[in-house]
Order: sequence, then structure tokens, then C-alpha cells
Amino acid sequence: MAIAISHKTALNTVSKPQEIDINLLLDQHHDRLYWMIRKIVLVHDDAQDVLQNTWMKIHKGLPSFKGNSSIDTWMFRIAYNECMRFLSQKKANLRLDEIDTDYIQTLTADDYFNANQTVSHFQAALATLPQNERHVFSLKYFDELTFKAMALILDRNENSIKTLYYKAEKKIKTYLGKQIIV
Amino acid sequence: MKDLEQLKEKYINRHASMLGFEQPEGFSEQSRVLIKKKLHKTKQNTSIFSVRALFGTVAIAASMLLLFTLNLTPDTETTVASETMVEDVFVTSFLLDTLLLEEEVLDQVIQESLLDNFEENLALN
Repeated sequence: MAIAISHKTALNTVSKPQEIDINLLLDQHHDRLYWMIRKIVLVHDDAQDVLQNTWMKIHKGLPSFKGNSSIDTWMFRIAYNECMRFLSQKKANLRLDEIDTDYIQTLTADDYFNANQTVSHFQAALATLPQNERHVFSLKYFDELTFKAMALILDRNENSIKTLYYKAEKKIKTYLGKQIIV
Repeated sequence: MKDLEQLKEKYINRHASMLGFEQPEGFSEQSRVLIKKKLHKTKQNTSIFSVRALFGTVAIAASMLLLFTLNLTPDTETTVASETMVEDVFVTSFLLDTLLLEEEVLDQVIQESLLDNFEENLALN
């Protein structure tokens, strides 16, 4: 509910999307975008770079924003595309055998990653998921986005997003269930 | 504003407790200040570029207008030259026609004289 309130404030104060104050948007959505990016790129420093690029893109694109979707969905989409651009550049610099083990290695190499037992189990469960399932799960579970918004952000069919989410949820539950039994 | 602060706390706690993600102290404020500075810098650069673009467009438009005006002004030398050229073409074609005519007449005369000569020779023999 709190998320919905914060979304509305940016739009209710203006009559046209072009009149939205970028500073107001930044104050309201900086942290949400940071966490969304962080969950995809994993490392704090990388997230910071991607976040800055995202805000530059938002600033550049704001005059052409038509208001077909909500402003936060539009910003999330820009952020997601920036993450994908970053990951593809990063993958291009990795050897093939490095890609599979990349998730856990990247996490543990970050100075701002603090793993206790719960975190380790949960991250290990996330690491078992394919990239698209992991992104869908994160956007729904942590960022509390609707399936409709996620479909717009990821440029996919709403039903396929639902399928990916439920698959991911099931896999995580199964993995964590096994860990608790062990 | 209170909602926003609560939301931020909720996000930070959830990401730290479940995913182990932490961030440097005061990161949010510092990052916002940094991004605002960058955005401000970009705005300034954009306005400089806009002024440059405006000057460029005005200069191009002025040049095109000048060229257009020059083209509209009557150029006497060009007119004279074109008239002379038309005249030259006319004379040349006229001369050619005449020459052709003369050649045809000449051919006819030659053929007739040759025929006469042949008939004369035939009559003599």
C-alpha cells in the first residue's frame, strides 16, 4: 500500500507527464530503482553505475514519455534494459566456463554482501533458477510489482510471466524444504 | 513523506535480511546528490548544444536565403550568352540544311551529266 502512495505523489502534482520534476522523481524512486538493479547486477558498485546511467536515460527520455504506462513502470523498464546491457557487456568479457558459477562468485566477491545462514540458503536457492525466472521472482517478491507491470517491463506476455513466477516459487520452496530437512 | 521513509526502511531490511545486500552508510543521500549534480551538468550541456544548434540552423537558413536571392537577380551576361548560343544553333542548322540541299542538287547535276555523257557515247557508237 505504501508503494502505491509513493507512486501517485509524483503524478498527482502535475497535469502532463512532461512536467514531472526529475528531482522529485529521484527523491521518490531512487531507492526502489537501486534495489531492483542491485538484485540483477548483484554487486553494489555495479548497481551504482547502472543506477546513474538509468537516471541519465530517464532524464533524457522524460520529454518523450507519453504516459501510456505509469511513470514507475516506465522507469523500471529503463532500469531493466540498462541492467541487461550491463550483463551482456559483462558476459562478453567472461569465459564460457565462468558463466555458470558466476552468480555465487559475484555475490561473495562484493564487499557489501553479508551472508548468514538464511541468506546463504536463499541465495543458493535463487542461484538454481534460470536468469529469467530469477528476475521475475525478484520483481514480484521483493519489488512487489504486479504481473501486468512486469509484463511491460520485461516485454513479455502476462501469462508467461505468471508461469515463470510460479515455477520459480516452486523451485525455491523445494530447494529450501530440502535444506531444512538436511 | 513518512510512508516513503517507512518504505525505504522496509526495503533496506528485507534486502539485508533475506539477500545479504548491504550498502555504504548514507549511500542513498550521497548517490542522490551525485545524480542530481550529473543531471544538472547534462542540462547545462544540453542548453549549450541547443544554442549551438540554433546558431547553426540560422546560419544555414541565411546562406540558403542569400543563394536564393542571388538566383532571382537578373544576370545580363548569362542572358546574352544564351541568346548567342540560340543564334549559333540556328545558323549552324541553317547552314547544314543549305549544304545538304546543295549537295543533293550537285549530286543530281552530276548524275544527269553522267547520263547525258553515256547517252551521247551510245549514240555515237
